[in-house]
This record gives sequence, C-alpha cells and structure tokens, in this order.
Amino acid sequence: MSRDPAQTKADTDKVEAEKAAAIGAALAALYRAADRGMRELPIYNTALEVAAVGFRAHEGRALGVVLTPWFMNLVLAPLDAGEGSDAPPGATVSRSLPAGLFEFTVGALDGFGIIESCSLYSPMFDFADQQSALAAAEAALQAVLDPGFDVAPAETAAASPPKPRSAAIDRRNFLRGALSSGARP
Amino acid sequence: MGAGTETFYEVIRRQGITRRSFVKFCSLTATSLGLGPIGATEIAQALETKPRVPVIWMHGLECTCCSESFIRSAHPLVKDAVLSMISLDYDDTIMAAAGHQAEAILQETREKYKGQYILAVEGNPPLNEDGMFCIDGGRPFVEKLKEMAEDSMAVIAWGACASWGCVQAAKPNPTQATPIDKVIRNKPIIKVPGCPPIAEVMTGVVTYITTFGRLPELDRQGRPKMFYSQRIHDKCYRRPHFDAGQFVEEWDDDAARKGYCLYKMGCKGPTTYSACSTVRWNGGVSFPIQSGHGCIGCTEDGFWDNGSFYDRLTTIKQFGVEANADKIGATVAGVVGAAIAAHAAVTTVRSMAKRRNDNGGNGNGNKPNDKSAG
Repeated sequence: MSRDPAQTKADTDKVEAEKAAAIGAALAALYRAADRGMRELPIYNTALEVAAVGFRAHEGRALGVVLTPWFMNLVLAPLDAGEGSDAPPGATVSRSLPAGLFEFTVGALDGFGIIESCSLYSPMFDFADQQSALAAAEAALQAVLDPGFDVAPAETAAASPPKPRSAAIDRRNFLRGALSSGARP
Repeated sequence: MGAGTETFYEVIRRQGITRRSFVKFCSLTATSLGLGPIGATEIAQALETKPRVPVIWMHGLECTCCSESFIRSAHPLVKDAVLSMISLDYDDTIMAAAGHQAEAILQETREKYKGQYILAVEGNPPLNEDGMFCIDGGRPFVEKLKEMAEDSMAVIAWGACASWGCVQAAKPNPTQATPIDKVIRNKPIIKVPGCPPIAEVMTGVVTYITTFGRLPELDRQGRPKMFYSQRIHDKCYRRPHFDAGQFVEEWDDDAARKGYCLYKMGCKGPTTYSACSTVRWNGGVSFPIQSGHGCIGCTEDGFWDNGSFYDRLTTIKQFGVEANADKIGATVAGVVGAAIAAHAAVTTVRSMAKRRNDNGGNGNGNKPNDKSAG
C-alpha cells in the first residue's frame, strides 16, 4: 500500500512541529528552574517571566525565542534530543536563516543538551511588562524568518570596499573567490 | 607625494619578504576588517601601487603596552612588513635614531609630507603646570603634539590613554592628563581604545587607512565600528552559562573550573564594546574571560574610575544588541511599551544579520573557533 506523499509530508510536519513545541516547553522549564537564583541579581527585571515564544521546526531544527527576566535569545536546537551540534560548546557558528546569516553561540545546557543561541537582549530592563517583551520576541522571530528582510543596507555599503578596477576575472581572483566560498560550512 | 617615494610592496620586497607572505598578510588583514576575498585583492593592489603613507608615532604619558601589542601581532610579517609598510618614520621606542637626529626626522616629515602623514599617538599629554609632567626632547609633550597634529592628515589615538585618559587620568588626576581629542580639535581623530588594543585591530586600522586613504566608519564615540560595535556579553563563549544562571561564586570554586559565567566576579562584559570575544588575543588563542578572569572593560571611558575590577556590575545603562556604543548617552534609559518594543526588536535583528552574499560575509571570518576559519 503506497501512501500519499503529500499526506506523508503533512504528517512529518506535524510531528516536527510537536517536537519543536516540546523543546520550547522543556527550555522554558529549565530556565524557570534557574529563575530563583537570578532573582537576587541586579540584572533581573521583576516585571517579566520565563517564556518560550514561537518554537517551530525550521529545516530540521527547532527555532524560537527564549524570553526570561534576564535575557532574550534566538534559539536553535536539534529536533531530536541527544543530537549534538557540528561545533563544540563555546564555539561560534554562523547559521543561515531566511533573513540572512546569524552568529550563534553553542552551549551545553544541563538537563537538555546542545543548544545554539543568538543574543537579542540582556539584561531586559527596556521592557515595561511581559506583553511588550512578548511583542518584541514575536517581531524578532518574524523578522528572522522573513526572506525579504532588508539587512542593514547602510552598514553593508560602508563595509564593502569600492569595486576593483579590472572587471575581468583573472585566474587568481577566480580561485580565491571559489576557494573561500567553498570553505563555508 | 614625491616621485621618489616607494610603495609598500617595494619596501617589503627589498627586505626579502616573499610575495606569498605578502598575499597572506593581505588576506588576513582583509578578514579581520570583515572585507573578504575582494578586500584582500584591494589591499594588495593598493599596497603595490600607492606610495606608502608616512606615520609618526608619538608617545606621551603611557606604558608602551600599545606598542608591545602592535609589534607582537601574531602574523610574523607584522614586525617586518607593517612597520616598514606604514613607513614608521618616527617612533621613539623602536627607531634607531636618537637625540637631535630623531628630532630632525619629525621636522623633516612635517615639512616633506605636509597634510599627508598619519599621526599616531600613544599616551596623552598632561596639561597641569603647563605640561611639565611630560617632557619630550626638552619640551612639553603637549606642544610637540599640537605642532605635529597641525600638519597631519588624520590622527590615530592608540589605546585607552590617548582615547580616554586611562590610569594617569584616573581620579584625582594630579597631572591633569587629558585625552588627545581635547587638545587636537581640527583633525579627524580615530580612537582605538583598549589597554592595550588588540594587535589585529591596530594593524587592521592602520592598513585600512593606508589602503583606502580614508578613516573607516566610526561610531559616535569615534571608534571604528568594524571592531567596536560588538558587546563582549553578546558574543562571549560563556554566555550560555549566564543564561542558565551558572556563575562562578568564588575564585577557584568548582564553577570556576567548569568555566561558568564571571558576572558575579565583576566581569564588565555586559557594558564593554570590543572585539575581544571574537578576534581574541595572541593570534586568536584566548582572551581574558577564556583564561578565567572577568573583563575589566578597558575599552570603555574611565574604566579606572568605575569601581573595582571585582565589583559586581549593577548599573548597565545600555541594553540589547541594537543599543550599540552609538546610543550611549544618546538615549534616555527607560522602559518601552509593546509597539516600540516590537519595532526595536526588528532593529536588533537588522544589526545582527549579515547578508548572505556579502564580500566575504560568511559571518565567521574572524572566529578563531570556527573550523572553516583555519
């Protein structure tokens, strides 16, 4: 009996979405456990509470925003528990998301495993209440997932040097360009 | 410039440096500047064709750690190439000339390259007692500094001393040590703070200016954005421990051995903008936090007067990746509502994202940790 491919895909999507949501919940539970120790520190915004925002499956990983009274991070985690990252904890990795490339720091979270996080805010005193923090988290996630997102046009223009004088591709340039782009992870 | 002036490339070739080393130097520098492969070609081309830019390197009240950092750049070419490349016509620490001969070089460069040389200043002038606390060549340093700045093209303020004042300007500042931008007012000044700044940052800044003939983009405080727009806290490899509430409580406790976050031990990472956590030191080997000590915030203004290095940071004025050094002092710290928060989040994402097809914008160009960087 052959199954409808579209149906199979829908099933997989559903399973992955459930996994991603579960990962969000697990992370929130872990950070809630850390909450008591953080409460006494001057970097804690008492108006906020731990939340996992918008966890979803994205190209085989769970992607979402973790919000706590002391930080807000964009988080990538493997969908299947126990799976690692291609880099050791502490390393910086560059991840391609629809809006562009983002640098994530790999971390090993006790009781969870490997997660990759990209800092959005820390500390969180800019946020008046949980509602505004949630709004920021959702807006950030939406921006990251938007392929048409305009990535800092002014900054990019300033950072790139003027075009080389000769437009013709010589062998050395060709090899250099080809090798460096091939070396990307 | 005069027809007789050599290019950088001619000088280093004459010194027996191979083309291979030269090209490698160009690509390393381009990478540290975030320019990528095309930038490397650009730098190589400029160094081969443009006449070298004379640099006068002056020392006021300082400890010479900036020079130490600079000449110990990881790349072996630096001590040979960069020092000759930038045509370091005068540096009282490392030049062979002495006495009247050395003073003559200053005047000669000033006349021959009027409006064309770079003045790099390490340390700062003390203004009290008419500058008598720092005498250089029989005259107050402040006089010499003003004189040399007058005919320069641009001024580089090396380190925390020249940029902010550093330890000699710490309270009560008996000699009235003063950052150079309070003395030189009519020239573009680029501040490269740090105590000392990272070698790669220093060579990067010098190479950028000599290659493109202009200063790189600066932030509101006059620092090159390419190296001073990232906060230590946002790129720290120990950040996951901060997030998880795992802190070192005492030196040498179990948490210290495990490499937990040093916030409670006085780490100034959350208020410090520097490339330390990404470029790192000694050729990318390590940086203070990696060796187990908190950041002391040496790139920030007045870091000696901000309490002990081991006091826990309690007031963190700027928040979020988007609130970079540009915003310090410009925004009134305050809480925002949902609509503004959502808008700010988009700005934050914009400041972090890199375009996929940037020039070498693979986003990990200068990450020593990254496997592809080697």
